[in-house]
Amino acid sequence: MPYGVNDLLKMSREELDALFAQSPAGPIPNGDAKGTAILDPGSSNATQLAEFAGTLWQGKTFNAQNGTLMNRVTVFGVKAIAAKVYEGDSLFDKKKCIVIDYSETSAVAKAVRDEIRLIAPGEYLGRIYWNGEYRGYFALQLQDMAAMRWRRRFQALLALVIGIPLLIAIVAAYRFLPYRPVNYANIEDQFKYGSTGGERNFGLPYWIWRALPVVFHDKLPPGHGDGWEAFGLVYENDEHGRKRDLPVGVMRGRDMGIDRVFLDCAACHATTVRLAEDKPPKVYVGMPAARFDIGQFQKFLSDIALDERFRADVIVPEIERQAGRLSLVDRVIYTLAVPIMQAQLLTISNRFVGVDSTVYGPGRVDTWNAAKAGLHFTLKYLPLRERFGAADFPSIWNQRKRKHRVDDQPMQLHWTGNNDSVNERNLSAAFGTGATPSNVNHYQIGRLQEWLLDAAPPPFPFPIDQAKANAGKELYYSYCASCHGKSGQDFSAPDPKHDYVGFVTPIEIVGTDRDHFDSYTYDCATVQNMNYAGTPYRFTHFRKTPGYANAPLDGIWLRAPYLHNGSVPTLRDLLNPPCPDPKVQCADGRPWVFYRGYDVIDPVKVGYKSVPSENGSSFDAFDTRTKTRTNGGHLWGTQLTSNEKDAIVEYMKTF
Amino acid sequence: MIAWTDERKRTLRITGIVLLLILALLGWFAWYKFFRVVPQPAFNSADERFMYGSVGAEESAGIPYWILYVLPRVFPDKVAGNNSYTYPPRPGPAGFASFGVAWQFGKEWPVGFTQKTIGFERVANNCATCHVATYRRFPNDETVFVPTGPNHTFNLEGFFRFLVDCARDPRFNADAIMHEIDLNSDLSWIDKLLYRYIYIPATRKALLARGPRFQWIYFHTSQSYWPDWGRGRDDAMNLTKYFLTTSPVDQTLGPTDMPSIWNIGKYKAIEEVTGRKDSTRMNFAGDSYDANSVIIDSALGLVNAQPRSNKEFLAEKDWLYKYISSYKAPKFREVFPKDKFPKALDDTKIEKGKAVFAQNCAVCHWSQAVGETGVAQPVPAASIRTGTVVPVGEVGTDDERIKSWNKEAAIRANEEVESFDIHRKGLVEATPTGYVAAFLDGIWLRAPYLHNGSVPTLRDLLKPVAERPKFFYRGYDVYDAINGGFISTPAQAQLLAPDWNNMKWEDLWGEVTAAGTPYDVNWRSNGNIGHEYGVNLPQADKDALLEYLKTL
Repeated sequence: MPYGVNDLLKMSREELDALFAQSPAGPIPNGDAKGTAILDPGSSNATQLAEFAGTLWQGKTFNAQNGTLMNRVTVFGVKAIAAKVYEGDSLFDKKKCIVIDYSETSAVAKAVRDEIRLIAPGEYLGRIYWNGEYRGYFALQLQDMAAMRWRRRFQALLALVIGIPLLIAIVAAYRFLPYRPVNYANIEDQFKYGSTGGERNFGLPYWIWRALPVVFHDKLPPGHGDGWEAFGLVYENDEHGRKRDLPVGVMRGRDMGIDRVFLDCAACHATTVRLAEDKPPKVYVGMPAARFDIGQFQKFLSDIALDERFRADVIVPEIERQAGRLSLVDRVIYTLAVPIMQAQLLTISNRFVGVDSTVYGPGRVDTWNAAKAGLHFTLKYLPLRERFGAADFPSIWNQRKRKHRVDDQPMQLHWTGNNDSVNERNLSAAFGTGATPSNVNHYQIGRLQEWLLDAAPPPFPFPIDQAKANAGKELYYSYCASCHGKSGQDFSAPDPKHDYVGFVTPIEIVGTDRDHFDSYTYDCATVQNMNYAGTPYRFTHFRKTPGYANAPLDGIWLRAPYLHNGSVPTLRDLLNPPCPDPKVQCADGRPWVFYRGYDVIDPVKVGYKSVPSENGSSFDAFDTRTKTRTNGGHLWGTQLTSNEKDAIVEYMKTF
Repeated sequence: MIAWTDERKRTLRITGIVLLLILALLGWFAWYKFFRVVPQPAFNSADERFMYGSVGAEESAGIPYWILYVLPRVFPDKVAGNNSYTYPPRPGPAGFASFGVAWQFGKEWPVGFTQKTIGFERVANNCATCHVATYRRFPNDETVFVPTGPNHTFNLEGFFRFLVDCARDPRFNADAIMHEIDLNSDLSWIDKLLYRYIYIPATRKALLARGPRFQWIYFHTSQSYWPDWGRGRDDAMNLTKYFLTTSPVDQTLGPTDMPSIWNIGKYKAIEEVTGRKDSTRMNFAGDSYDANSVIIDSALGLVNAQPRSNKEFLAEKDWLYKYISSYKAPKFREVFPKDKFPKALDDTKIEKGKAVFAQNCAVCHWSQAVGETGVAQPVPAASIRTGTVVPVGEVGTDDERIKSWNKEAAIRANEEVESFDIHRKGLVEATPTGYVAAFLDGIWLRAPYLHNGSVPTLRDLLKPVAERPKFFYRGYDVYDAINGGFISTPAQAQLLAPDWNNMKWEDLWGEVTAAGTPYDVNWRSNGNIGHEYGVNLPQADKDALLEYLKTL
């Protein structure tokens, strides 16, 4: 009666011993025999063990004539590990058995000796010895294994073809697919460093970001120092007092298997200020980034994309110099990332052809032409009068108060008052960080939005002459307050009948530089109003307005230089008229030329001090006689006496 | 021979049921994604329904929402430009605004763009695309939308060309278009696949198929003095000829102003008053018998196929007829009230102007009363020609519009509509001979003037041909209340700018040239000749007449 393999696998060692003992040696087998290992007889997992062993050892092929055999190993049934086969005495009971002896034929299995006995026709039970000690049983069933062997081979191939790619796919998916933005619980940190989602769109690979200012140091704006600081980006120290690896206003997220970084909200709405030359710089969030030259930043990225050094074999070595040796995978990733990034930089910079970003200067940006570029306007075909739109970064505090004006409508936001929805304005600005409807992180943007509702500017940090300020208040009420509100805290006008805060004053009446006004168009509004289509966030509030919006003046001491285009260095200068003759700098007129990008506050005139250079760093001369920079218009209060003007400035220090 | 054991029968039954379920699921999916009709949300007002309500064009002529959305972004180089006189022609700024569409901010699409889900969201057009007028009273004014008024800002030809040009461009492929769609939307995986493999290729095919019939709107690339239609004009009879009747392409060109379609009941009124049935004719050259036929033919032009349901189609037509019959032209005096716009209208001259009008114009333009009430007033015997065709030899205006239509085309068009089982009085089966003497209700908002819009203002129309402007811009929407028309010439800008916060006239003119399309009266079909009625009146009479005309 033949024994099934399953029967043998169920037997305990004692039962197998008994079977082995009662069985005759039988003849030396010839041909293929399927093998099943019974390594731990009687154990509950004997079957699993046998299956596992089966992948390593399939069976034996006997040659009775020569008294030899070969084992068939691995799933492919490769013939290997030879042995001699002869009749001999069993180590078990000294009776006859067929001995399979590896001692002379195999270096690997030298210590192995198998003994087999015939338990049924064509079926042998074998005992395994290692250096003469029992190690387990196995079963052999004589059969033609060719067919089975091919089936095994096919299964194995299938496993390879599907399994290996699957395994690679799983590893690769784990390596490349997860998106892990870096966000912060602390809301100010989130504002400064937290992801908006935009790095998935615009993000530069982190290590390339680190390498760029070194590889292309000659393309940095000259005279402004090394590294990203050359663009007026500022670094903070971490909790250990070490300089952080990314400046304020740069966010980070892991996307497509690499860390990617790009500008976030704080790049344009936070910077450092010093209270005196010898005082340390301090970062203020929510204020205009008066030092950041986004135009030069943009030019740098455009220039390097065209540079012949923008190659993996130049950039990757610099990355390895800074980061240490990269893993093979990282090397491949960064080598591939360089040309991809170059193509994207060229695509974006091509969109800006027709607008010269170097005329922005520090603290300024051409918002609407950037928006138009993003919305596929062909800038070079636009009328020239639309193509110069640089204006100052705004402060973004106290948004809740801006949701209400005297007619119960929200205030008109942006310099031109082209949108009165705080939420739309925020999502619109987030486009600048690369955040599109498909990648924007509404939760994090929502957190910032909530925080900005009530975030307030810090008070003026120098002593204020209260008596003088009180005198100034009266003048301010009669000359300024109907358009700019009673104070930095109360945005309503003293007389509700003449409350124009948050309304737009027509361009012909306010009379300030009209380039920014002209850069925003009806066409731009219509296309912006299509953004976020198909979502509840769809824009509907953009409009072309007739002039500039009357803005509340909260934290005005941190918002220098003044007017929408930053053409007047201090509050005190703003109360002076522009010079009538463009060839002569008049005595008590607004200055023609001053320097921007310096961060020391002038506590008397209120604004930044204007110096050409400090410690080898030079600052940008701002010539108000050039395009987008004229300092005319907004003549309210310019007819007052010098003392009266001083008093108004003193009052505005309380804002 | 199969033995039908119970077990086999059961297996067969289960297999059958599973297959049926799969088929049903696939069928439901196909129905859901391609044929499921979702009615448009209810409209708040009749005006809204007119401006955004479907006339049934979405199924045959609609473009998938996201494709239309991204087309101007993927192809900014093909967006209609303003200056057809530069070579190579320059594209417009970007977006749909470049086509001069009327757009109420906050609305999903511009006026006249109808959105409807038939399987997927599709966007097509309705009558309001060409028949909603917009104006501003001064540059900082809010735009006013007037349903049934002529859309004098819309560059229809530019829009037609844009769609075909995009389809002809190799960039009209799933990769380029999906890239932009992905940036702007959050579509499901299934919808992305449908867009990529079905909607985008199918849309391209459909747009390319329009190409051969649009041959004549590309003749400007090969023929001299072949003008663009420009903003606010429509080569209506050629459209009918090539799309409804698929006639062979000829060399005619007849762009005319988008007409106002308000108060269309007046045609019936005058027939009742004169007692002469069938004397009035519709369209500029009197090619159509009645308003009913015109609405059917125009709507069929939008649908560009046999309507899916004649019943629904005709019901919508009846609603439109009712709506536009009763819609009255806005009154100049109400738009420019005396206290705020003292210069706009000199009331002291109106009475005199009325007398001059009766003497010189009323014969062809019997217009008082119908403009206000639509109720028939006793008609002066002399006004009997109003609404009838005046031979072109008599009126003397540019004759190319007449040449663009003929008897054969009319017969074919009537047969075609008949074949849809839609019955109407139809097109006049005769070659046109002249232009219809028009009613003048709301004429102040119907600038520029003459059938081809070749004269920018009412004041210019009262001048001899030699003194009328030869080159101007059309399509800017700030109204010149003094001259009666939109700002089209530097002289108008110089006259008006100082009144508006002392604006520089160059800034105003910059806006006109950026928004408008240039118009040269020397180009084909653009002639500003003829209709020299009243040009020899004394200046005082002309001034008075002008003031009276504004009040119509």
